Amino acid sequence: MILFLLSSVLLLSSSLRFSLQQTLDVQPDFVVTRTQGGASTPTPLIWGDTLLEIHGISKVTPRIYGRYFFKPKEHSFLIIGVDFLEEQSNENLQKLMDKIALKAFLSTNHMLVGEGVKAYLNAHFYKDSYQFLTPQGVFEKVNIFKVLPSQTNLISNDMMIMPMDLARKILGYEEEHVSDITFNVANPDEWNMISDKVSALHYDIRVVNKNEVHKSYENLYNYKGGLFLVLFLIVLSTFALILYQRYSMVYSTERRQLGLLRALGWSINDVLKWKFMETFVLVFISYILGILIAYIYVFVLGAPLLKEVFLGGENLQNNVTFIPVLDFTVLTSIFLLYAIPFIAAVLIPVWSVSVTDPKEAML
Amino acid sequence: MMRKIMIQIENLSKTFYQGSHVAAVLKEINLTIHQGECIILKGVSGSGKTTLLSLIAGLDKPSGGKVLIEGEPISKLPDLFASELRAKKIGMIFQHFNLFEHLTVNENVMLPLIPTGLKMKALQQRVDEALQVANIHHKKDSVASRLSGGEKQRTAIARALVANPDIILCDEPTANLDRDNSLLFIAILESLHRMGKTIIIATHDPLFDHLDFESIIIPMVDGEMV
Amino acid sequence: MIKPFLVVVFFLIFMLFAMGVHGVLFQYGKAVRSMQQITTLIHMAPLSLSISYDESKYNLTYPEMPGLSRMDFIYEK
Repeated sequence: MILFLLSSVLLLSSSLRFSLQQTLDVQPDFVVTRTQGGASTPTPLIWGDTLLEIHGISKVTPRIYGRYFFKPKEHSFLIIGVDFLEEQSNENLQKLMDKIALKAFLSTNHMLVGEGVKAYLNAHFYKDSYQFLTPQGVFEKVNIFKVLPSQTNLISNDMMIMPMDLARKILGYEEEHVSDITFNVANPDEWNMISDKVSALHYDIRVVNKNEVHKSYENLYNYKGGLFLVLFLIVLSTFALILYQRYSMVYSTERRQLGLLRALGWSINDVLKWKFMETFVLVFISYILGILIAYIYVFVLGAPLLKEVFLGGENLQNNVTFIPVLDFTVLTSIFLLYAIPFIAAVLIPVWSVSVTDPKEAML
Repeated sequence: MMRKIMIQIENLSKTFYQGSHVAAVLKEINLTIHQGECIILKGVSGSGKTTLLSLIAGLDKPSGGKVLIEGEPISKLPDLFASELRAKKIGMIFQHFNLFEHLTVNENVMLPLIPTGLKMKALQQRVDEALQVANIHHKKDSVASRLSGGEKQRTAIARALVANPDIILCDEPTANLDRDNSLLFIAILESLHRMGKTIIIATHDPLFDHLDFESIIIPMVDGEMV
Repeated sequence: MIKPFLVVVFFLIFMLFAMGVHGVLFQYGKAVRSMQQITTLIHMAPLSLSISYDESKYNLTYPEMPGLSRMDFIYEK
């Protein structure tokens, strides 16, 4: 049971880290935002032009995004604006959404929504469209064009992708402002230098590179994280209990049995060898079983309940399919951490009984 | 013809210490047992006969004196050699059978042979032979917990015989049996005696007073041989 | 005793095989490609964390940045 829980947590976190790692390569290298009093504020679009002047910087892209709160339920969606007039974005959209009729999509107010959003809007009787209330107090009706592929649920579940101008209107960004600006630097050796140069451009500029973003997500799902630690402490305490129980030989039947085997002509070595084999087989089978059940629970059933611990369950329900990832270093570590104390917990008391005279053991 | 000395007991004593109380269970026992003899240790509970059997089998260490099995001092041997001696030379039948209840008859009888490293086929052959001698072959695949008292006793006999030991030790073998099963047990003992096994029985059962085969009755009182 | 053990072993081997088949048949390529495609489209990979968005505590897009309405940056050393 403990092994199943531990393995489920580790398999889930490995899968999440793997998924995030796959997106790292295609994410922009740097993000620049304006801060005021430690808070992010709308970033001037003109900063993009300044960035382009720095040698080594390429693919400067403004981003508009923000959360839209669906009151009175207090659930929220992530609205992301994309400049679909840009050729690159067009291509990306065609690749993501098979056979999407781009002209029809761009003809009026349309959006692409994640599965969670679609399900939520359906439940609240917004089957084909939704009326957003803009900060100007104007309602903006946007039609749901298509649902984003379920394989992207980890990212897109609560997402609404729409043309940039529409997003700007709904989120209340002015023409000359965006949420932030991204850019790439082809040569990793130049990252530090360019980061310093960009930071020096304005007093209120904040530069974040993708490794820092990635690190923060890693910390969320790292196996050293809180949940794993708690579980590991539970495992350790359980082992300590087993060790104490075995050492005090609560099971007098087993004590008698060991004495009997000695009486039948088994040497201490024979007894230890047998007990080791028995325990090793038990440990191995329970380990495999734990991993198997954890695998089925996480990658076939989608880790109900546990998923909510990692991804939350307060906003929108997320039917994410986790990518099956088996990190063998982690699995080996679990095995060693589980097998060695368990085998020791069994063998030490057995040795203690075996070295006593058989008659005494059989009492 | 001079028969081989199987067991030599010299000045054997055993004392138990329970806090300040000292109990001398065996006092300076001297005994020589030849090959093929059947020795019956008779005495009431507490006379020391079970303790004597345990010391002969090497299940316990004496407080003084020694036990020699075919010239080897079993109590002074390192564990590896003592276990080997016990496995090859001695078969023990306990008062309460001491079977592994969750194992089958076949598995119980196989236990003494497992450390020998014999191949499964040879192992099974030896087990089958022992089961035949003990007349329990028909219950081979039955779980021990489902056997009657007599069947458990015969399983214990088969287990004691499976390694073809020269010495059979029986501790109160008929204590948990009815009269019919006791007589059945004695009949098996007779066949073992005919096979040339050296048999030592610790008992207070009067059925052993008048056996049909040659036996030596040694009364024991308060840890001494009378 | 051996029969039930063998049953368990064969069952485990079968389940391991089934797990292997599941892993092999899983469309890793499609899953990874979709994730990369959406990331390329929106220029970000924000985890869809289904938590209550209390803006005073989190700045989820940039978790390493302080929350929007916190005063820690003043009082922290």
